[in-house]
Amino acid sequence: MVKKMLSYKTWYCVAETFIEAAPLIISASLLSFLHLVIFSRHGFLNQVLGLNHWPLVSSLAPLVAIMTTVINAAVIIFILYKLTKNATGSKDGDMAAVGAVLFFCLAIIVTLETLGSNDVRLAVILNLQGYFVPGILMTIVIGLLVAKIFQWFGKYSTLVLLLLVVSAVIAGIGMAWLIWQWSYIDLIPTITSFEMRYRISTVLVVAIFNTLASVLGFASPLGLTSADPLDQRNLSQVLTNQHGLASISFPATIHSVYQTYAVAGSGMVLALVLLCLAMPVSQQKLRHQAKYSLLPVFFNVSTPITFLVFINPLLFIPALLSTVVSCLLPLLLTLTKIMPIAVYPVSRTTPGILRGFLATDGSWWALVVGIINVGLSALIYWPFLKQSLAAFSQRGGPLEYK
Amino acid sequence: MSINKNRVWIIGTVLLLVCTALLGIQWQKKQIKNLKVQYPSKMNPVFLVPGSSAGPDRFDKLIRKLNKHGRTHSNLKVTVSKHGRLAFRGHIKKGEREPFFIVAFDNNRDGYQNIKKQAVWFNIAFQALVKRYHFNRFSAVGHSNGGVILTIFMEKYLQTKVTAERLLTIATPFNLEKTTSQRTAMLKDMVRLKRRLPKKMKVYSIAGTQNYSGDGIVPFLSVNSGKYIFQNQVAGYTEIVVTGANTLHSELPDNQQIVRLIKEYVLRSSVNDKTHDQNRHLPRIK
Repeated sequence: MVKKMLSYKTWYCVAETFIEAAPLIISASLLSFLHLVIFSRHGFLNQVLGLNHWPLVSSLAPLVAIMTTVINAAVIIFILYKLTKNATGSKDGDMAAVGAVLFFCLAIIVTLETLGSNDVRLAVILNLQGYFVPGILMTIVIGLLVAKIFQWFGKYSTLVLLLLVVSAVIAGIGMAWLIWQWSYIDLIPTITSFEMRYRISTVLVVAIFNTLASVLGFASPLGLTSADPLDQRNLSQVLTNQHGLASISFPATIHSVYQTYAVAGSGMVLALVLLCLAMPVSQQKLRHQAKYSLLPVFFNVSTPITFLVFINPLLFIPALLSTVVSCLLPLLLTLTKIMPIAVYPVSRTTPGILRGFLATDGSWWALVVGIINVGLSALIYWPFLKQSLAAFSQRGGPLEYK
Repeated sequence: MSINKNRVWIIGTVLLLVCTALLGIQWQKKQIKNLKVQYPSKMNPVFLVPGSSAGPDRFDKLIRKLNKHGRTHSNLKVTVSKHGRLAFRGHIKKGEREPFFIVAFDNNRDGYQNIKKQAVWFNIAFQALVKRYHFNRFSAVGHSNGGVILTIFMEKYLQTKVTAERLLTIATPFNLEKTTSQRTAMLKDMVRLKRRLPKKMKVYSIAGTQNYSGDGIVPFLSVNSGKYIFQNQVAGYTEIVVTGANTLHSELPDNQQIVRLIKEYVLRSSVNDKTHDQNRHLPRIK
């Protein structure tokens, strides 16, 4: 399948662009790690080490936040430029690339202006704060579309540029309207308003949907907030001393299952990173990327390795499969009351393996389940990774993973 | 070589995991402890404190009237001896959200020195009830010197882990029986410590005026002195004057108008469950 996809020029361009952008993506992810885990007030290490009280950290935090946004925006623009240029393929490549970047920047500016300066949702949706490669899908769609337009109407490049400017304004207004109309945050209460007997399937559907969205580069729409009403009720029961963790009313919730046990990086990519690190030395390129990805992915800032999943469509399957499998074991153990239910809130950048351990106030069962889930996910990823690497090696060129 | 490099990565990852686990669990335990303290308990009792010379049955009539319509509230009467021993009467129903705790004293005599002791005894009863019923918020109603006892308790003994939501005082002589604006030592002490009052508490002070100067025992001027203690110190301070029938000092706790005010301002049961639950379950921003 990968071999077949790589034989298409368009897909080859996408894969090539991401590999070219790898150093920039890795730099962005490391900076995102610093921002989200260390300098942000809600970062895991910031909280547990009390870094917020260190004058140096609090004074540098705004600067790191701005740099993170800028470098993540630079990643988008670089990918957009390169992809459009590669996909256009003719002498108009540079002009097309400029057109795509112009279209993108103008659309964003119009959206921000239409929404008003106080509205920060756009930055969240584009994820310029860096939980993963920002807006990949949108970038690719714009890049390929502009490249196609220039391939068809390259002769009239000035007119095309003018049209792009006009359509960017319309697209910006349209995007602002969409953001007004469709608030991501309302999704959880809507999905979770199903009857109780469907709870387990609801959690699994949410897990699959969220993983898919994250891997595609959307700001995880269901991970923005832990607003499952049942999570709030579980927490309320425990905090008001009505129940112990083993006997609270709702064991199958988004927080207690998916967010706690199936997010070691979106799509359990921590397992993929560990697998890549365990590769033989001959796979130097892969090991190199995995080495720089380990720290961010360990703390759920899954930027650098996610693009590997994106350019290998085959890896979508284990990403979804491992998420579902990671939900099943904790479900089984909590429903049979062997393991306490994860109720307490944890920071988004809490290491995936430890989320259960901390959300259950130190249950060893939860820690073991966290480790087993990563192991199981590695087993699920292994055959798919092997197969896609073989396909890339056969294709050769810049895509060859050696 | 490859095996050695792999080993380094494995050892590094395990070490990172162990360190973050140890740091994380220590921090999480502290967080959970704080959450439990801050989270509003389901039980939100109302303390009723009678004035001088009155016993634990002082509020029986008031409780009957409060229980007459709508939700009934079970009650527990606690009498504190001179040595701080507690005697309990009554019981709290299982799942009761808003019980009445009536706290009375063996030594229920008037005078500032006695009132100071009564505030200490009230604190003993309060601590015992917190330990027994695990609540972290409460409201209180004090009649006559009961209001003074509660005020001194709020200033001197209330710990920050328990939140005082509302205080309603009925004919409370903040300046004893003085009919002039000259401040007594008791008022001076309360004014001096006013900054320690819970900032989020709402205070309602009710004065009865059977005649032009007061309710027959407590002068209006003395009740009015409460403003020197509460005004600009708590979340809200409101003075209410009740006139007409049943406004003699001893009749005030059973006065129909005051019963209504207690229902409206002190009891949570007047807020319907749905609204209350909605407010409790609002998503919190991390």
